[in-house]
Amino acid sequence: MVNEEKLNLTNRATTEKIRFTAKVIARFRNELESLMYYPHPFTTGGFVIVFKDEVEKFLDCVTGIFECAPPQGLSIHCVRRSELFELALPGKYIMPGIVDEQKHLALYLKHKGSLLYGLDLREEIPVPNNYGVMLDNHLDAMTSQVRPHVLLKWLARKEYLLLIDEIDNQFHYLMATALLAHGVWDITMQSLPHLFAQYFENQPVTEIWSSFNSIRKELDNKDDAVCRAAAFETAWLFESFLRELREYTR
Amino acid sequence: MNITLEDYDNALQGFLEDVETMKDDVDSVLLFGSMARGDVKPGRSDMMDAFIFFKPGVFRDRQRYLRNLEVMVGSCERLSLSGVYFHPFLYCDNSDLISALFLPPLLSERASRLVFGKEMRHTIDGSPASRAYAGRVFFSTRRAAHKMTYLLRKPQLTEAECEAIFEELQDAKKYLPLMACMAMDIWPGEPDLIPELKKALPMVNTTVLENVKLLRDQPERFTDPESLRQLLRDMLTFLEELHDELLSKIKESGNLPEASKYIPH
Repeated sequence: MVNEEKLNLTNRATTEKIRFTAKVIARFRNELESLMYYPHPFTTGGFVIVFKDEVEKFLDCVTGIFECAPPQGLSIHCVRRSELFELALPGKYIMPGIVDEQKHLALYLKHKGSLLYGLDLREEIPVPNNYGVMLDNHLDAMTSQVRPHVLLKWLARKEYLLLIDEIDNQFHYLMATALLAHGVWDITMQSLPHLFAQYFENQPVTEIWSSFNSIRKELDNKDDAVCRAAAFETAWLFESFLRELREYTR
Repeated sequence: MNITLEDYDNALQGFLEDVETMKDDVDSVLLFGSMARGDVKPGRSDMMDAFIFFKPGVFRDRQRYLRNLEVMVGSCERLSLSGVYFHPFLYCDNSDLISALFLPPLLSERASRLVFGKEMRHTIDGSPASRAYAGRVFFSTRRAAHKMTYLLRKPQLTEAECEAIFEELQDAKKYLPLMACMAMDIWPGEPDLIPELKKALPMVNTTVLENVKLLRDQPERFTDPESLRQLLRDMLTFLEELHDELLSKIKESGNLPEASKYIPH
């Protein structure tokens, strides 16, 4: 049976998740080892669907899962039990718009996730502990992805407000990764700036964040030239943020 | 619009004229991808696979940074009007280590071309963190590709779905061998990727990579949605085989990313 309370959600979204979960269980009862749900601070979370190691035709099983029509916006991770460790490995950065869930996935699954069917395998999922490397990876990804795919692309397309919004998100994601090194993982988009200021007090990065916030607040009803200047300044502040955060980790 | 090789040459020429205006701040510009290899397919190949290496200090000086950003944005505006499918180029501080994912094309003299400034391919390196990242990203890429399985049994493929399959296949051909090699800590130059992969994992059948290449060269790529679907099935099968062989290799060697310590022996 699907445990509705454990899905911890409401209304239509809950109904969709229950429908999907029930379908998956009905179709793969014999092949499934476990079905788990995780929330995520930046997304609506997702399902971890664990098949038995001895399952043959794994690709057919995965195809069947996607035929059950997963609820929109939720991530699906299909693995065999012996592949659970892969959930702790880094995710792929695809800019812009797609959030890398990997850094918080294992932590949220372990501490805030729910078992929906089968064995509770949350203890078998390793939680990443190399946060310095993780932050370095994140900074590398920013320089190779945000520069061409957000800064150059959207400045050239004159999408100034879109750029500022996206960079705002990227500031938050970077703060979240930086806070992991301080053992802080239980976050929300709203709580991040406050937590970041607390742990990085008197660091240049917090001043840069304040400067960005000031620019953002003054953009209501401004003309194109003002927005353009703000977008270029945002690019500079973001580069400065990357540099200072990298120096902080050295 | 009929795109010709000349359009690519003109676009590159315009880009280099823009770089010329930043010459005091730029150390080097490297081209990679089809324009560097000399195998541009007019109308099919995209641009601008290029790396601008700025002199140290540019990213610490607000005025210099903004001046150069202004030039690069102007260059992107012009390139996007050229008619050739365009994506912006990369740029970095010459003193920074680059993302290791770009090492295979940039370190190979057959896969990259110096188009401005000084030769520095022998000094380019990836950061230790990005090398570690590159060695592990294969696994999440595999899970991300699983979402394409819904197209394997869908009754009728739409044109948009055919387009999505085509793009996914091109990306897979480009990145899967690269990521698999990196997962085994093998760092070949771009032209040697598939031979190195075959050498390391002889059991994996790489025929699908050749078939995707042939698909790209066909004049009409979506005439037969069922062939496209079969190619997607072959690519996903290849991905799973690659994954399983990689895991076996990790178990055998025990010297790969921390991942190895989590694998039950």
